[in-house]
Amino acid sequence: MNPAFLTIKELNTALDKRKVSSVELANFFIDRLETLGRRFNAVAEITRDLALKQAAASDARRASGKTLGPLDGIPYGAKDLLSVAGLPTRWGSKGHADQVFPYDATTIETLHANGAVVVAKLAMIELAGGGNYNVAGASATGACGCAYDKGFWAGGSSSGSGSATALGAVPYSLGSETAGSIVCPSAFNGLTGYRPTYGRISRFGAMTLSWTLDRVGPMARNLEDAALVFRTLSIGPDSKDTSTQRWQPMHPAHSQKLRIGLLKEDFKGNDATACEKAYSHAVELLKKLGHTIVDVEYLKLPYNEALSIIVNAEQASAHENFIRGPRLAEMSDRNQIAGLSASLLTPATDYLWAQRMRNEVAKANVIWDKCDVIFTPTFYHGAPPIDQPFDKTFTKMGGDSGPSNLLGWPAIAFPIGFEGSLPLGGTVLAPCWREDLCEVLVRDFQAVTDYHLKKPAGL
Amino acid sequence: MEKVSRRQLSIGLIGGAIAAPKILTPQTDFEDVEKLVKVKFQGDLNKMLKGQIKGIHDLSAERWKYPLPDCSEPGTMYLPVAAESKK
Repeated sequence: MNPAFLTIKELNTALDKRKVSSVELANFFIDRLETLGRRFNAVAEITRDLALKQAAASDARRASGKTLGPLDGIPYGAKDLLSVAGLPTRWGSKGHADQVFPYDATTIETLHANGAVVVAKLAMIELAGGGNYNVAGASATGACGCAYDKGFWAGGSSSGSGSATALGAVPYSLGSETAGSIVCPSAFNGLTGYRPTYGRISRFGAMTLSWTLDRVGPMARNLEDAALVFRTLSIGPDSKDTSTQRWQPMHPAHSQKLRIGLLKEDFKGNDATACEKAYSHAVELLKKLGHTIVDVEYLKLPYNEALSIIVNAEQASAHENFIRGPRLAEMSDRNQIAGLSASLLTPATDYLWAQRMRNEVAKANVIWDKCDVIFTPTFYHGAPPIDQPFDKTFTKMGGDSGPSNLLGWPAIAFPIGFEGSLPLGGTVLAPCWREDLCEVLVRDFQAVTDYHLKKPAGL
Repeated sequence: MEKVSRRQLSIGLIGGAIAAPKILTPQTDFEDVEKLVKVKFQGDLNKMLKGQIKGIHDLSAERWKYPLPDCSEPGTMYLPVAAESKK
């Protein structure tokens, strides 16, 4: 049995039928991380001892008929921004090489309470990209390669989560997003990446880049796996993370016909022929499935200005000691050194303007009167070359420039086609707390397509 | 002199006091940064820092195109309006 690309459900069945043990699975994925994962620079730390201990405990539970649920005994990887007690949590940063926390992040604790087995901390962009990174090599572990072609970038900042999951080096992973860090590597690696509503999943034990924007979510190879992990992590308010105080219960993802909002896209201006074809095909499929298409438009408001100011101010505050200290100079991308330093100068009045502007931006929620979800290409192109600076390669990439991060809307990125050998992603957005609507669209799409079943050549 | 409203004057005074020195004399900020952090900014890094400071100044200037009602409140820090929606 080769478990590399099995779904969580299939792995569970294999465990139940004693075709494989959790210890064997842990060893299998650790070996794959040691070889493939390291070759793509997707690994920050292999957590072998903890994984084998957890896996042995899971096997014992299964032998006594007392499993903890569908994640019990299944390996996973966590972005190195999430704390695992007693193990290095370096935030992708050379300047934090010796950092160890004595506690688990709430997401890690939750997965472990459900029997999950952590096999690795996965590579990430230094400090989740704080200060504006401009090269793929902005990571203590080097430039992380796209699973489909190592000469291209895996995306960021959850780079290792994207690459390792698509390589079949972990069944699923955890990533995080402030503005794009889950959907970007999911799109570039052909994954189904789940960005929850702001406040849905606790960030306790996750590195802060921006308190009022950061979110943690799962990345998997299909909707079923991503939704299972997402729902496991949605445990309700966490007293250790005040953003979860307004937590609302999950809606079940009942089958229903959706009004799908389409934004005006500029494929021609961005030379995005392959993306236009893939996106148009996806829209046609969704129509055939009975969903209704409507044209929608965001209110014209300064979304990016407000978001940039908030990230600048909050990252400067969250990492002030590091920025003012001697280890800032160890960062790989000099642009981040400059950006983090300059962010100390963000005027308080600008920051408060941006937070006040959020009340104005909330008017953009009016779009949900016209549609249930919005469907848009995640980017206009596949992964960019790994050795080129982003100010050269992202000029025609497009990407979300609307209110979704400022307003905390949930999103799921999922594969919709290819540009040559590189995956193309689509993103579905929904109103806060309605992740179920995103799930309905992606589930329907994946029921009639096989993009999510593709894997990198040679694997 | 062009007649300005009380509101424009108020914005001009406050904005000028806060933003103008930074926008008009970025070199001052450059020196400020060198005092704030333990990094030597030379060569390319020097250029990058100037670019990043300019970015912050540009954002500062840009936001004045979107004036807010006086005394409107910010989204609460940890519970931003983000969490609210119609559905």
